[in-house]
Parts: sequence; C-alpha cells; structure tokens
Amino acid sequence: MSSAAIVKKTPSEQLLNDKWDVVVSNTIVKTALGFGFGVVASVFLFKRRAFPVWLGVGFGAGRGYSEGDAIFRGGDAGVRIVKS
Amino acid sequence: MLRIIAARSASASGQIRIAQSARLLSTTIARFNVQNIPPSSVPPKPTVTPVIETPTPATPSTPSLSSSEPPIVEEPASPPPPPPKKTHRLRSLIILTILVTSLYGTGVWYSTVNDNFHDFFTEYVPLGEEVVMMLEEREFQRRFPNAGRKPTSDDSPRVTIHRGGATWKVIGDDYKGPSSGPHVSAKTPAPKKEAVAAAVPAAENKREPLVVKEPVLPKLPKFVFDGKIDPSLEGVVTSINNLFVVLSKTGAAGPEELGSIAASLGQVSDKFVSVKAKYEADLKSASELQIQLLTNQVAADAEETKKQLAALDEQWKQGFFAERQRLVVTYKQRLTNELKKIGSLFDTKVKNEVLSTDALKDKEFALQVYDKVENERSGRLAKLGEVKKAFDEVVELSKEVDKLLDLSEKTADLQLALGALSNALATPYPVPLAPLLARIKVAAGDDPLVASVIEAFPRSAYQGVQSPQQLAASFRLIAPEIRKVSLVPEDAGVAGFAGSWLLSKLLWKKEGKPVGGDVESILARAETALMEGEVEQAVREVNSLDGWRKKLADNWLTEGRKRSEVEFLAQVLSEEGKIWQYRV
Repeated sequence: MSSAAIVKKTPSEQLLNDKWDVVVSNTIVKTALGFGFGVVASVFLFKRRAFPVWLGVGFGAGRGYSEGDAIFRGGDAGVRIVKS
Repeated sequence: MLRIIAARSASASGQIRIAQSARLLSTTIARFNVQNIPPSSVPPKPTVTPVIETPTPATPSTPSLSSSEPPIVEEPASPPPPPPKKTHRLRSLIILTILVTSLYGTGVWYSTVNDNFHDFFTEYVPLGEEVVMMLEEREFQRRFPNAGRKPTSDDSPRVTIHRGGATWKVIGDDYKGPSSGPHVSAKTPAPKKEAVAAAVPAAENKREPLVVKEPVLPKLPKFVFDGKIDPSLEGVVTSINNLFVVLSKTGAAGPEELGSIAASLGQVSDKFVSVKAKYEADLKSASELQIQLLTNQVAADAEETKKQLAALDEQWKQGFFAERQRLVVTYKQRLTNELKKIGSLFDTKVKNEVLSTDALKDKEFALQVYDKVENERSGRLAKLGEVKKAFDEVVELSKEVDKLLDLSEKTADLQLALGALSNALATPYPVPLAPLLARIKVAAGDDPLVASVIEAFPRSAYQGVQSPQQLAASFRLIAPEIRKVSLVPEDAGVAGFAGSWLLSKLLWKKEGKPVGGDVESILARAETALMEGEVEQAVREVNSLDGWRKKLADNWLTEGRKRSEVEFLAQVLSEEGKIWQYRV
C-alpha cells in the first residue's frame, strides 16, 4: 500500500505545493551552506569577524532564490532528484 | 670577428710556447757546451741568436727565463749587415710583361666565350675591341674560307648584249631572219661557228665600217621535182636546196658534186613514185577479191537462217497443240468433280429439311398434350391453390407477431437496462458502468446508433464516474489553491508566486453569477453551476481559466469532463430507448 502511495501521481492541485517544498528546502540548504562557509572563513581567515558569515548567508540565500525562480519556470536547477 | 681574434690569440700563444721551448733548448745546449767544451772552440752561432733575441711581436718577453739563465749567448757578434738590395728591374719588367700579356690574352679568350665579359672588355680595355674583332675575323675566315668572295665571271652563263644601234649585213636570197644579233643569244645558244662568223664580221665592221666584201657565189643546181611526188615531201626538197646553198657558200662542194647529188636524188624520187603506184594497184585488186568473198558468205548465211526459222516454227506449233489438248482434259475432269460435290450437298440439305420438319411436329404434339393436361388439372385442383395461399398468409402473420413479440421483449430489456444506467449515474458515489453498458448492448441487438454510442463511452468511465456532489466537494478543495495563484503573471518566479499568494488574500470573494473574466468571477460561477447540478456548465467555466490556474484544476477538469460526457451519452441512449418504444 505504501509503495502504491509513492507511485501515485501527484494531483494537479498539489503541483505548486510540491514546487514550494523544493524551493524552500533548497533555499534553506543553500543558505546553511553559505553560513557554514562564512563561519569557516571568519574563523580561519578573518579573525572571527562577522562580515564573512553575513556574506556567506547572502550568497546562499541568493543562490536559493535564483534556483527557486528556475524551478518555478520549469527547470530543475540546483536540485538533484534521487530515485529511491 | 671574435672567432678570428680567438684564433689569432691561440696562434700567438702557440708561438710563445715555441719560442720558450726553443729558448730553453738553446740555453741548455749552450750550458752543455760551456761546461764540456773549452770556450775557445765554441764558435758563436748566429742562427740561434735571432730566435732568442727577437721574439715574435705577440710574445712578451719572459723575464723569469731570461733572468734565471745567465746570458751566455746574449751578446754575440753584431748581426751581419743586410746585403745591398737588388732592384731586379729587368726581371720584374719581364714578369710584369708576361703577366699583363697573359692577363690580356685571357681576357681576349674569355671575351670570345662570355658575352657579358666581351662587352666589358671591348668597352673598357684599350685596344680590346680591335684585338677581339681581329680574332673573331680570323676565326671566321678559318671556318668559312669562301665567305665574302665575289663570284667570278665564268661561274654562271651570261647574256651578251651588243652595243645598241643598227648593223648592216649583206644577205642573199635565202635569208630567213637573223640567226645572230642583239638578244638572240639569250633565246637559244647559237652554234659556235655561226656565232664566230657573226662576231668576226661585226668586229671587222667595227674596224672598217665602209669596206664591203660580197662573196661571189657560182650558179647552183637546184633539186626540183616534177610534181609527181607527194606534196608532203616538198619541205624535204626545200631543205635540201638550202643545204646546197650552204654547202656552196662554205665551199665544201662545187656545182658538179651538187649536180650529181641532185641527179641521183631525182632517180630516187622516180623510183619512189613507181613503187608507190605499184603498191596502190596491188592493194586495190586485193580489196576487190575480199569484197567478193564476203558477199558470198553473207548469202549462204541468210539461207541457213531461213531454214532454221522454219524448223523452229513447226516445233512450236506442235507444242502448242499438245498443250491445248492437255488443258482441255484437265478442265473437264475438274468440272465433273464439282458437279459431283454439288449433288451430294443438295442431297444433305434436303435431308436436313425433312428432319427439321419432323422435329417441329413432335414439339407441337407435346405442347398440345401439356395444354390438355393443364386444363384438366385447373378444372379439378383449383381449390388446392387457394388453400395454399391462405396458409401462406397465416404463416406470414405468425411471423410478424413473433417479431413484434421479440421486439417488445427487447425494448423492455433495453428500458430496464437504461433505467439501471440512469440509476447508477444518480447515485452519490461512483458505480461501475461496464456491466450496465454490456447489458444495454445485448438488449439493443444490432442497433447501430446504440452500438456507436457505447463505443464512444470513455474507457476510464467503465469503473464509474464521480457524482455531482463529489465534484462539488473536490471543487471546494481546489478553489483556494486556484485563488492563491490567481494573480501569478506569466513565467513568474519565486517573487511572483509569493506575491500572488499574499495579495490574493486581499481579493473580494464573489458569489452567485457575477459577470467578468477574472478568476474570482469564474470560480463563483462554476461553484454556482455545481450547486445547481450542472456539471457541464461548471466544466466549461473552469476550462476558461489559463496558465497555472488551469494547470492546478487539471485533475478536476478531467473528472468533470468524464462526468459530462457520460451524462450526454446516457441521454442519447435514453432518447433511442424512447424511439424503440414508439417502434413497437
């Protein structure tokens, strides 16, 4: 039954919600990545100053946003779909 | 350049080394000499000293050697004065001359070989042009010794032209035009004797123009024929007379010799005339004899021919009669054959006619018999036919009744099946339609309309279609989703969707049947139609949406379309069922 539920096609009214899920999760992941790089750069290169963290977060969020745009427009930028 | 310098320095260093070694050698030798031999016996060696004393300019002096060694040989006797310098003037002059000459000779030779050098040499070297020209001229003369020589006068025949003007000459009666004179030699080479004869008087005439010497000629006998000879020989006579004249002129023969020759010639001519007459008489008699012989021969041939013609005529006549007889016999035979054939044909024809008349009579007889039998039967068995007709009608009636009964039964079945279908569509949950459709198909039999309508049912509807209530419920679920994207522009990104989601919450909700093409109005109209149970109208409204709105309503639209299709087809079937009722 569970496999059938997985196989079942997404109903049309849920299409947009699925896209929103992907976009939000992608943005969170990319922002977190940017944050992580910012922290690392701050600690190792910039004597624990704050601006690298903000810069990393900004890069991550921006990347998430742009990829979200692409996802809404029908692409799959920045997202890798792994088949179970 | 650097390489040259290096080589020079290398050679210089080599010279230094050689000088050093020579110096060492000489010093050791000198020391040896000093030690072993009494100094009085050692003569100074002028050949060694220059090597030690004057090193090459490139070699610096070696102070270590010169300082360490005692200067034993450093002070020899002063070098011998150089011998008085000879000038060698003569020798150098000779050498110079030889050199210049050889160079000049080489230049001349090379100028004959090379054209460019030739130009240079002849232009810039004094006397070069003349020498080269002379050389070339000599070479040319050696190759072609005859070139440039004028042809001699004896090489070709020439035309002698005398000085102009008229000349005079005494001529006799037999003069026939000039034999020699101006331009005559150009036409034909004149006989030498005549030429001399003509030239000599001319020369004499030149010297003594007024002295005339006429040779006195004796009276000559003439060779004359008395007209008996052939006229073609008159030319011969003329030439002989000319010959006589010439001979007498030259003095080779006198009138006596000529007279005897003329007499003998006259005898010869007489003989010739008599021989000719004799031969003519012989020829005439021979020809007459020949004519006689030929005439006899012709007469004999004509007789022979006539005989042969008569024999041939007889033979042809006989052949003609025989042929005519044969033809007559042949034609007679053919005629009798044809007569026989015609007779047999006529017989067979007559026989056939007789047989055909027999057959016709037989047929007529059979017809008469048949007519009589039929008359008898209709008279007695007429009522049997009527009974059979009535029976047939009864059979037809029963068949029609059967058919009607069958039809009414089928109609009842169809009505029942259609009722079941409408009931199934009216239920608030999906009912499988496949068995109902199969039942209708069976009940309708071979009705083409019913068959095609059942074919038109979508396959996905066999498992049932959603009821209007279900459709209304699901529409209520998707309507908010559609409302969220009601303001999304075309090709929107994150901002477009988020903005539409936020701003759509500010839109007024509409109800009833508002007029307008905006999303809220369409949704309101569709909802109203669904509440009224008009699925088709709702589907039409939702179908007018576009973009993401339509995409989100896709599943619902599919279900709604299916429902409306099935409803329409069920209506068609019920109409057909009504027609069936009327048919019964």
